[in-house]
Amino acid sequence: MFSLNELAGEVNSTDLIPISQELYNNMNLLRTRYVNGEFVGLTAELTSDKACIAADGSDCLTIQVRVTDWQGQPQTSYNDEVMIDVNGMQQAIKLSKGLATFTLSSEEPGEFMVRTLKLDRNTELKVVVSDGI
Amino acid sequence: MASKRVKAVETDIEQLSHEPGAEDTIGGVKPSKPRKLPVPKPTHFHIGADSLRLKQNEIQNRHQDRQKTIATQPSDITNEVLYQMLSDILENQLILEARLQALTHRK
Repeated sequence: MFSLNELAGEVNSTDLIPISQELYNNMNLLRTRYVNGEFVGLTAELTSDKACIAADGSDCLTIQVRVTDWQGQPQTSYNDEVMIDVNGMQQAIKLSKGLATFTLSSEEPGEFMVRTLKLDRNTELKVVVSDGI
Repeated sequence: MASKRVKAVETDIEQLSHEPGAEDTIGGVKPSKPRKLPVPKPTHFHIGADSLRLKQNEIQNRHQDRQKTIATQPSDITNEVLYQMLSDILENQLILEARLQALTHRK
């Protein structure tokens, strides 16, 4: 939790971490951890090569996962797994140098959410599957 | 006798050493290049067709066919047609109930 002090004087407490106005306005600070005097936290970016795919089971959408820190800096040393959830199906994907790609196809038209799980701040991507009507 | 056996084993080894991919396991010959690892396939997610939706489409198609038949040949409305219509209604009811149950569990 972070908040703005509107009191006249400075509040000194061992439980409080003073932050700048700039950091206060940065919403990415939410869901970070304060470790050894700095804020840390992993998040991910999900990008796809298409906005929409056909519900024929063969049209494929390629999604790239890029792990970044809470400030959006790519984590090129990240080689662990990231859990991905697609419409309730969950699978761990191994990243290499902070990057991984996976594909998605569907026989069911509609809107589906692709989500990352178990990161400090998770992200999601909406996938539209069109039945071509 | 023993020399025949040795010869047979030797020919077996020779044959195996000529087989593709056998050079790094038989004969102690080291491969000149490091073996290339297969490129890992990217993970693929597939969202299958909703079986309830497919069933509902089937029922709708059957109903449309029946409507065409009834419009052209009203004399073809038999007990069998009525029985099929009733079955389709009940089946549709079951699908709707299943959907409602799924929605209730989601909340």
